[in-house]
Amino acid sequence: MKKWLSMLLAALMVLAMMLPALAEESVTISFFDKNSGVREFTDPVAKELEKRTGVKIDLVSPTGNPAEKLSLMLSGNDYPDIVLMDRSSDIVNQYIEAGALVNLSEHFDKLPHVVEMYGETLQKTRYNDGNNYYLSNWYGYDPDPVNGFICRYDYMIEAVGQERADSAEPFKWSEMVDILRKFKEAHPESSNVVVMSEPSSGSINGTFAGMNSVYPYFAKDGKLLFSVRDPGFLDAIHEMNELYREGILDPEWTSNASELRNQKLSNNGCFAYVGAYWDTWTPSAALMASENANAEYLAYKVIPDDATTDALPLAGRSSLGWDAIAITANCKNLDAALAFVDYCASQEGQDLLLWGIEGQDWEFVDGVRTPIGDIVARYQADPSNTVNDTGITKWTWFVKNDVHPDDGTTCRIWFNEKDRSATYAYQNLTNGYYDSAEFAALEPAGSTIEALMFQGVVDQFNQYYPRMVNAATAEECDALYNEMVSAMENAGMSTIEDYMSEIYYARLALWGLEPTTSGR
Amino acid sequence: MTKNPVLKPHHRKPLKARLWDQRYLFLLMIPGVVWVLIICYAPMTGLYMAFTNYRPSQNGYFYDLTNAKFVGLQWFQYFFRNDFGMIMRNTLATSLLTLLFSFPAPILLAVLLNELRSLKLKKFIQTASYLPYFISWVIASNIFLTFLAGNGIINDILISLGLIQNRILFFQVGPYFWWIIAIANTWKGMGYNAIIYLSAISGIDQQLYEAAEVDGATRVQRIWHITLPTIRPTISILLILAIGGILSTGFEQQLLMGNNAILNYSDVLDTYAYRYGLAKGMYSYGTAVGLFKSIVSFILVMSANKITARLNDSALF
Repeated sequence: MKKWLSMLLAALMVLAMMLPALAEESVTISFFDKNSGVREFTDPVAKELEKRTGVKIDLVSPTGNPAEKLSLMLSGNDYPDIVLMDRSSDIVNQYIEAGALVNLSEHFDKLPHVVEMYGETLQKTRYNDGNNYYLSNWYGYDPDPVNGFICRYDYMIEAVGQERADSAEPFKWSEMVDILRKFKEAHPESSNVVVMSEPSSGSINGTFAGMNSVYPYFAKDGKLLFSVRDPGFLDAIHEMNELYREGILDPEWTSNASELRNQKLSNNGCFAYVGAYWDTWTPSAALMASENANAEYLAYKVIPDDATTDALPLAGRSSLGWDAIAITANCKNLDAALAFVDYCASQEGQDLLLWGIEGQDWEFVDGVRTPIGDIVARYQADPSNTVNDTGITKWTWFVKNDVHPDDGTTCRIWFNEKDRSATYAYQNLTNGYYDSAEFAALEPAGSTIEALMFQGVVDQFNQYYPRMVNAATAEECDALYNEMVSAMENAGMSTIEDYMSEIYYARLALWGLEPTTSGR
Repeated sequence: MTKNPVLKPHHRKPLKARLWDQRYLFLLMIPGVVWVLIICYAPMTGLYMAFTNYRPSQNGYFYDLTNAKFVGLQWFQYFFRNDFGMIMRNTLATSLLTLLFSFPAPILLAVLLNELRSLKLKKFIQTASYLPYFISWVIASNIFLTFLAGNGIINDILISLGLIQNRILFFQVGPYFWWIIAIANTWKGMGYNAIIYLSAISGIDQQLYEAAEVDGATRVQRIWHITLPTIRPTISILLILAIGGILSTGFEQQLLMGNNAILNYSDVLDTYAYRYGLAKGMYSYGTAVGLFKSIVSFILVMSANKITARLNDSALF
């Protein structure tokens, strides 16, 4: 009896071990998404994607700094099957040079939807050996507004009246400064009249850069120069410095991380934020709940006093996208990975990722994609939880910035109906779009002296930029500017400019483009 | 009267025999030795990267390392020519200020705690001072950022006391950052280090105190003549360790509390090596900076050990 029982138990154990293997039909693909945070791939959209592709996604979380993680994974050759990284970073070239990425050009026959959807983008994202090693994310022309003066609507009504606050006519710089001064006088206790986006590495605030026609780099006389040499650069610094000296700009702008910035913007007495219009969504929601329905930050355009046109580069977006998604050489099941990528990049895949499940989240009404129920209203009231719960736009992979060719609806369900913030941004921040693709990924990469020099130049810029803005006098500001240019020169600025010019003009010739030049 | 037996000279067994006798001890030692070799020494082969232009490829780490182009001291030369002065100034300034505060603070705390009569109060202070050690730098940095903000509590207090008229922007002025890091390091490690001194104090023979009391020594005299001299070896060892770590002035705190406006004051060896080596993928350069730091730290530890041995008759090695 004992013997039989033992044999039965052993047989059951063997069966139990074999069952998962027998039941396992789907392939597992590991995926590193630098933007995924600590999210889990368990929402309805994720499950539906796994069901439709037959691929189980093992998400690798970017704990800590994603750039560091990508770098470490590369050095140890332990990167997952698919990696999503910052396209503008030199890490993409490092992965390609290390032979860590699969040459997708050799597999285009298995990627019909990719070829169809990406079109000419594939030509522009080729590596210098003529092959495609990655696919862009957020690619295509994207004339969405970005930067401006994002002012409290109720304060604007108080300052300039309802009609002007609702008008699409841009404000002159002196006009806006006057409004800010008067607000400061009326609210002497407020120390954060204007909060500015924290300094991003190697560039000045996008609104002030745009107002003064400053592009990421300055093309002049057949050479690509750092933007600090653009005549508009110092004007932009002077404007920021003027606000700082008058006590209008938050003196701690440079140390405001996003949480602290949101906290300051949520406090009563803050008039405006200078940066991207979507940065104020969270504080606006808090203010509207605690203050009044008009206590919302809305976008306004400010132009220089001597401007002859309102066409200013306030919204630089790369048609080649923000991210690069690639299949790595570690991928054991290449066919499954290719099929997964092709499905995600297809229109059907995009609709699943960005609109949700058809019949549950949206449906066709008279041939037009239409959200079901109150899903958009739920998003507008509580964006982060709605995205998390539904899974819609939670996994933003292979995203094409375009409207649907069949019904003209937007690529993301949430933007099909614009809320007040988006409405004002689209109404007021017009004529600001430019394609920044020509300036992307020009920097020297990898372990080279040029790459070190480039980082040294950027470090000098990063140190001097806040000091110029926070200078006690205009003269000190100018002196610091001269000091910065000479420090950047000492760090090797001219050498790097020569290096980048060569790539830049070769790129323009390849794409058949003229250089974008400053309007100054 | 019995004759003292003549002791035969002790003949040591041959080495082989002694090793065989201790075979079980050696067997027990094997896992530890293997662990040290794999975890501590094997990664040191990577130091060679500092002298090459290392680029990862599909051929594996050791192939890439051994086949990387040898560039000699190129990375060291670049570091010394460019950022060395600034980075060393920041590292040493932060470290020396930290040492200035964080070295005597736990001794003082331990001595004061030892003098407390109320056991409950002693335990409370000990726990309260020990707690910051367990707080992560992410939280600790946020506490400092909030307290020292332009509209933070420290500015409020200074203004209400009439000590300042305009708010101080602590995180906008470079040299302030060194002091902030030194104070933050001290606050975080003081309680933990005090435990080591407290345990040394608890080993002091109580009869010494009783004798001193009979002789009419005051409390301060007892501390000065009994407590402090007795814990001097502990102080020496901790000083050697602190000096050895003088170039390891911190990492997370600088990254979390620093900003671009004061980067030329906040960037220290560790953050610099991290920014270039890991965040930018310049492995060889990052390794060169890290190796330079290790060599200087090693020299500092050996020097401190020698000096302490000469002054105190107690040393680590």
